[in-house]
Amino acid sequence: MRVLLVEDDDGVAQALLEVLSAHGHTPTRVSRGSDALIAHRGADVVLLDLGLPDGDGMEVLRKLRQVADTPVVVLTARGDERSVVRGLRLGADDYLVKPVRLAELLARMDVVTRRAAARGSSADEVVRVSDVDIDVRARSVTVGGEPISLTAKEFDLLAVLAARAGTAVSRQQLMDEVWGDAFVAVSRSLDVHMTQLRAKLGRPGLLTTIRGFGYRLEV
Amino acid sequence: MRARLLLVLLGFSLAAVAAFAVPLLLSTSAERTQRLVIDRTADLDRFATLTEQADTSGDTGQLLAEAGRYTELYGEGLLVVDGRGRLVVQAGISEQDNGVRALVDGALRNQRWRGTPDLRPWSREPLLLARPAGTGTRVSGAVVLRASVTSAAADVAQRWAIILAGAVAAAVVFAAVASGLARWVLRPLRELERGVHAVASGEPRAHVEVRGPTELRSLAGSFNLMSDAVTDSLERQRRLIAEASHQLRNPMAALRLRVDGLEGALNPGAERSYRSVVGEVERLESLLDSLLALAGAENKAATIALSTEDTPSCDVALVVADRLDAWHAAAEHAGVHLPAPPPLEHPLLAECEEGELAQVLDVLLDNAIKYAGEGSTVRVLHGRSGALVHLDVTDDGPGLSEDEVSLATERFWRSTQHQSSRGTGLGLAIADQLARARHGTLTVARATPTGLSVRLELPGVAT
Repeated sequence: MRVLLVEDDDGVAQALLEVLSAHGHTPTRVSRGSDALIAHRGADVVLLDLGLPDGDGMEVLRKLRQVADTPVVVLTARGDERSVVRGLRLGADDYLVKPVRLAELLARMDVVTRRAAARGSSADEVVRVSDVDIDVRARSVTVGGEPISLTAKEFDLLAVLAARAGTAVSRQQLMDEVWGDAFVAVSRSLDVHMTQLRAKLGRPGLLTTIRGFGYRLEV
Repeated sequence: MRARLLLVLLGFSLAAVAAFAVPLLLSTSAERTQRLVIDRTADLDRFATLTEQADTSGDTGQLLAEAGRYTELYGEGLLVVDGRGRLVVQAGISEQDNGVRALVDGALRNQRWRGTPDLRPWSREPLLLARPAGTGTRVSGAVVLRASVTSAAADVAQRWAIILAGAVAAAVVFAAVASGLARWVLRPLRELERGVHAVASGEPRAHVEVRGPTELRSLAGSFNLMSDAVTDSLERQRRLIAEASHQLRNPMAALRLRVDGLEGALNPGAERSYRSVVGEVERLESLLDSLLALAGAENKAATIALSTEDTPSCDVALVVADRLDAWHAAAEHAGVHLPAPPPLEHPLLAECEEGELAQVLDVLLDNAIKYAGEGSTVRVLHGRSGALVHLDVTDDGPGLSEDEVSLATERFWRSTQHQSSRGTGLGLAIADQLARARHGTLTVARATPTGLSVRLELPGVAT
């Protein structure tokens, strides 16, 4: 796939160019945010650094999101919760903190591009994650072939996460889609339902918490 | 100190007021007594003269007339006897009255009256005055006058009241001045004490108000300078750690990607070296993360002290469930049993941010899973004891020795048994800092029969 690399650090950029090429991708590198806004057209995925010489990468992300749906993976040295949440809120598809393992980077890039490709077509009716099958139309869930019973709210939560499997879904979005109206009082209720859902699924690690932002169904 | 200072100041001022008031009271009453005595002595002299004249002329008419007029007008008792002790005039007083006989006898023996004790506001006893009549050598009779002291005592009472009111007013003024003085001296001291506590609790640039006596003013000024210096130095240290860790991330990222890219491209002989390079890179990464986390945790106390937001609260049980879910895979991989704590009926709210609690719990679970060893069990228990919410992470692994337990929260400290495993020695230091920032405590103890138990206590939120 064509990867646009927005990175000002030469050492990191060179390493990324080489390893991405070695894994069959075609990376292009720009080192300035303004160049990224011009060069994103031909790319399947953008790897965006936040510390750029011509300004904050968050601003680049915001502008990029106004003009294009190209998947963006933020790859930055800033690992604090605030930055992660802000990046995801501004529309990044994923957020990785340097240093990152190559395998994880490639997997994340795969997930976001696959999801972007599926965005146009109708959502799958059955989502399969490891040995968990989620049938959205029949409202049934089987774990390892065994059906489990979920309450309506628990199933709704799982369905919303399954529809965006592999990407972070914000609490706001979950509350909007499941409760319809995001009261503050619902916020704690969301945590409680999520805890119960995890207990019923009995697959630890399947639902990841992204502190301060929301949850992700791991694929 | 305040009580003692006030005691001394008030003691002195009361003594000063008393030193003025008491002589004034005494002299007032003496003066009024003297006036009364002088008034009545004049009357006494006149009757003595009349008695003598009567004695000389043998005509008591004028004496009786004057005496009648006098007693009628003033209502005071008068007794006159002649030289042989016979009654001449008796009005409103009897010879049998207490002390009268003695006075008459004394006067007939030509004894002069010897004075009277000073009047007091509460004096009611009438004043008995006596003098002999006649020339110095021959006594021709005696006159006894019984004077009422009521009006003179009322005068004394009135003046005493004025003086005492003045004294009380002065005492109140002195007390006000004393307490003002005490406050003026002590308030800067209290302010300094507050400042010291603020610095000790990590409040950045904790300043005290510069006020009070000159010496304390200069002390307060120096304190503010010191506080700034301490804050600056801490700030520089924190920033150095944070920036250094941050700056190292780019080279680390490049290194990591290149190392990962080498996988599978090496000849089999280099495989062992490659594995150890990956291990070292991972160790560097976790050291960087820990240093940043420690800088962040140390910053936290200052941020919280300055923050005007409400204290956040989080449900400990939910965070525990979330972290156990996340650590399950790692525990399974290490062969450690990680059972879920018994469910609670009510939310268990603590004064802390969800993220901070999760960070502390991550450290405790990471340590327990890493060091307890295969086949051991790590138990997480939470509950409430009084106003505190507690969270225990206990394993039944080999644990630490008594000496090692006391060192466990030191930075970069690692048990000698674990020197070979990967770890930074910063985890518990970070957890400890985070707990302190939220006014909580982190206690490391040996578990029975074996293993290690770490207890986190945080202020609870009433539910």
